Amino acid sequence: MQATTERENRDILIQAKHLKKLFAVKKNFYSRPLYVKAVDDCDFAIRKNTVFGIVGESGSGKTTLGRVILRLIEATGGSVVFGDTDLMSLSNQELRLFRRRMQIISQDPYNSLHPRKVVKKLIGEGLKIHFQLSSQEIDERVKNILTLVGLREEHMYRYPHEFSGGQRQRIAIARALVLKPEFIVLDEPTSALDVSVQAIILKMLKELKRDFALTYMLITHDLAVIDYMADDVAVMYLGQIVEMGSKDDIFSRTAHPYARLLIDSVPPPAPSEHWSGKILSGEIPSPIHVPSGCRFHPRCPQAQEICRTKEPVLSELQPGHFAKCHFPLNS
Amino acid sequence: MQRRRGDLLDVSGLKVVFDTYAGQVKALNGVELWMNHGERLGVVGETGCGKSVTALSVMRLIEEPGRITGGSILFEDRDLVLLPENVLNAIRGKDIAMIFQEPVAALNPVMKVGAQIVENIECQRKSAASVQASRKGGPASGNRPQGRVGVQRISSIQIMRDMLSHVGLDWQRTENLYPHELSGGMAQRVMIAMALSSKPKLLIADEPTSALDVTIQAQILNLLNSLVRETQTAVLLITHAMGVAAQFCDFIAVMYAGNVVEYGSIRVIFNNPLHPYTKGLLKAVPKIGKTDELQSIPGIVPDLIAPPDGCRFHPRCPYRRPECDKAQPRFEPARGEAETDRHHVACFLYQQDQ
Amino acid sequence: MKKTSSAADSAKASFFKRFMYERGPMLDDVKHSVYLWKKTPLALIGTVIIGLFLLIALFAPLLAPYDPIATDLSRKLEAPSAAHPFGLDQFGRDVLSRVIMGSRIEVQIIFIISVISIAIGLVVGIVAGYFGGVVDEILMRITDIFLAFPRLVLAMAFAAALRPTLTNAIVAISLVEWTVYARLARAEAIKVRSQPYIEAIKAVGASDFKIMMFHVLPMSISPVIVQLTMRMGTIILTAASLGFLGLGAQPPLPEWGAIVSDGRSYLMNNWWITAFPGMAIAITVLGFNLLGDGIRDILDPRIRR
Repeated sequence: MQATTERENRDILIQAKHLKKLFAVKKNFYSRPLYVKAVDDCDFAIRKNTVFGIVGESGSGKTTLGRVILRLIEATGGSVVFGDTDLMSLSNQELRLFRRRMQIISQDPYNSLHPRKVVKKLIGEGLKIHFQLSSQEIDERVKNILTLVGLREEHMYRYPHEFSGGQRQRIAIARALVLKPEFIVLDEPTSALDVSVQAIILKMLKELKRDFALTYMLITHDLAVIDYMADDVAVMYLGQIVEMGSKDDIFSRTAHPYARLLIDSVPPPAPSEHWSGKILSGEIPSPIHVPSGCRFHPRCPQAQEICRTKEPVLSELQPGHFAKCHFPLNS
Repeated sequence: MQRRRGDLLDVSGLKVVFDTYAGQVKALNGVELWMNHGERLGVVGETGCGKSVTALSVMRLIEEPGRITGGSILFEDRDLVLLPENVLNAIRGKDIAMIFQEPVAALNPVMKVGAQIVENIECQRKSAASVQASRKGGPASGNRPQGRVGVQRISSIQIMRDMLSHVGLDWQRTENLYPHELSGGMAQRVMIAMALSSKPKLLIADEPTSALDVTIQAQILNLLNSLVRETQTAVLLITHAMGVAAQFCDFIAVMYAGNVVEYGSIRVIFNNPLHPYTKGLLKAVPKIGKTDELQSIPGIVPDLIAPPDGCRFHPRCPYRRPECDKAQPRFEPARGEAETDRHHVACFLYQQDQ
Repeated sequence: MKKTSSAADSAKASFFKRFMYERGPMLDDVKHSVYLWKKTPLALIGTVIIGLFLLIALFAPLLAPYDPIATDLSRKLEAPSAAHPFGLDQFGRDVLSRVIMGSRIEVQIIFIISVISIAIGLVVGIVAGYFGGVVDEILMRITDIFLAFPRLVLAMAFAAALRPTLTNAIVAISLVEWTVYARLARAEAIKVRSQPYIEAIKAVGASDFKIMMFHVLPMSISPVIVQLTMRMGTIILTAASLGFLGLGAQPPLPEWGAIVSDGRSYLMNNWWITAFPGMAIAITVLGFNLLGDGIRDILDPRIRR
């Protein structure tokens, strides 16, 4: 038993414990602040060289979680251990240098690139900060990384607005990759792109992961993308992880009713497949006034009295498969 | 004139250009699509393919610097391209209604939801009355007793409340809300209520669920489905999501760079696609439970200021032939398929006369 | 020898080519601006007025027919004539020459005030906007204090306290003027701060100073420049007012406001002493306002397509 946990520990790149992020909102100057529980007590581990998918609707806190992991937003509580380093204990200066090892690619390729900088500057900026390189060496590395992501050398002196969405996302990928990171947070990397472009980018991300032994945390609302990319999946609802496990656990042995309904509400892109059309009623409640007990109970088709009063714990149903539900399905 | 293909809407050879600083954008290059009463037609394609421009053209809402330069849009028996503005005003909102991707942006932010719907109903009533009056050529509406206005307003309020509860909202609560107090799903329901309040013959839905979460998308699609089935309203659904099109529509028109490249029933489009672009598009869509490699379409969407000669897809096409960059392929029926599938394709691979 | 020169030539040529290539999009941008410029006639008029103003200032010593401070009391208060188109003032100085030489002083005032107030405003505004929180509160409350006084009164107080000279008037106006740019730069910095590309550069590991200097500043500066052009008219008016009140340029310096002030007791019978410098002020202010409006329109993304 002891031996296995140790082996597992060696496989783990990122360990998050009791992560919490509250945003204070004030109605007016005098009122007492209310707290938005964007991320509320999230525990998870990301294994080296895998894709950890996080899926949820807007307002579930998945984007905030991705930022908190990288300390782009300071957490209210909890810890993140990256390899052997406790990220929360790093000073600002140490953190800046540590950023080389963990990168982010964000959703919006139209705003994530500075509009007044040429591609060479965009990509070279990080190199200048983290490596002592001559300008020829920087040129050389930028050229190499551009060819790697499928762009050409002559793109170096162009501005972002001259590129299509897919090409911009390639530039963002190049900017992250040029620093030789170990871990990349992909925050909805393709949701602003057309399907044919999405296919290219997803394929490329998969290949890059294999070639550079990367670890990804993939945040998305698109379950089909999760199914295509991820190894492990966490489903979030109102700031909490409600189900977590391997991809097969989530899609084939779904335990949490919310995860089930989420999967069922995706219309399959083939007319022959019957869409079960099971509908999740209501909308995601405000994260300021979260429901008592199980947060999903007002929308849950099988809610019982206990769900209203007692909050379930994230318990392990099978090894590696967790669900936060009093009455998990398939059990 | 050629035979009318659909008894509700028949768009043929529609061309639209936009004059910009960088040059003339040839946004639509001879769009062909048609539908009968009560059918649902999905227009699918990627960003910039012209699907939204097509929708706006049918509403004749193309504004400066854009203009319609050719083709016809037959709606029932009238050509919308040729109609004068006042007649169009009576058709818009009454016979053809529209809902948008950003419902909150489409509502007036300083007016309560209920009042907006009532206003909308009254507006349609007035423009319909004025057209009728001008047809009769007399001041028929002028000598109407004053009391009628109040009666009409009350009935409009009644219609508004009926519509709100019809789309699954609690009218007592909703009618007094301002648009910013609505969630995305509620706002889209309000838009649907507003659009359907005039019992239109055609509802144009431009990406109605693209800004919504999947669970809300499912709610809205189900709602729309039951409402239009009940009232026999035809729907022209503009979407980039193949799943939405597959589950909601009867027929599909696939657009690429300003052309409809393939048209037919969902069965033939999904099971027997002919055009290389349609094939590529379907293979690029990730599906839950089928994690085999995705296939992508190489190359990029062409610049519509200087589009490629001939077939606009030829630079990206894996089945490219010598004639493809010479002339535009004709939009013709596909061979050997049932009439009811209406399968048409614009590609030299299937051209009949050679 | 020839070889090396040709190599140098080709290096130069390739440098030029590369420059054009790198800066190509920017040149396109400039061309587009010129195209829009031509379509806005009022901006064009403003440009012409300001162009003339600057040219006159540049060549003032050549253009001015007489010495602007040479007095000739025997010919005082002479009406406009062919030799003296703007007439002579109460000391027999040529008003035309004074107005022409005065344009140099106005340009000087505008330039120095712009540099000082923009520098202070940008630093305060961007630091406040970028960091937010307590820093923002403190810096903005200081700005509010400056804004709470009527601008002219504050400038007068400064000028009077510092002894009335032209330099002190410039310092006084700069001290009230920067608040405008500070507020604007802060608003821009807040907008830019939340853009994904700033987060992206932070994620790469850039320091706060670098982000502010090389990423926030370039994006915040253009609205500030537009505002500056629109406010130049007001700056001239304030400087002229101080001059008029005797708190700015001192005689015999031919500052326009001071000239107007000099002539005000003769206004009833000898209108030309005040009317011509007054017109110069009015036309220049108008020119700057038209130019400012034009620039704002041209940079407006809604018409920039």
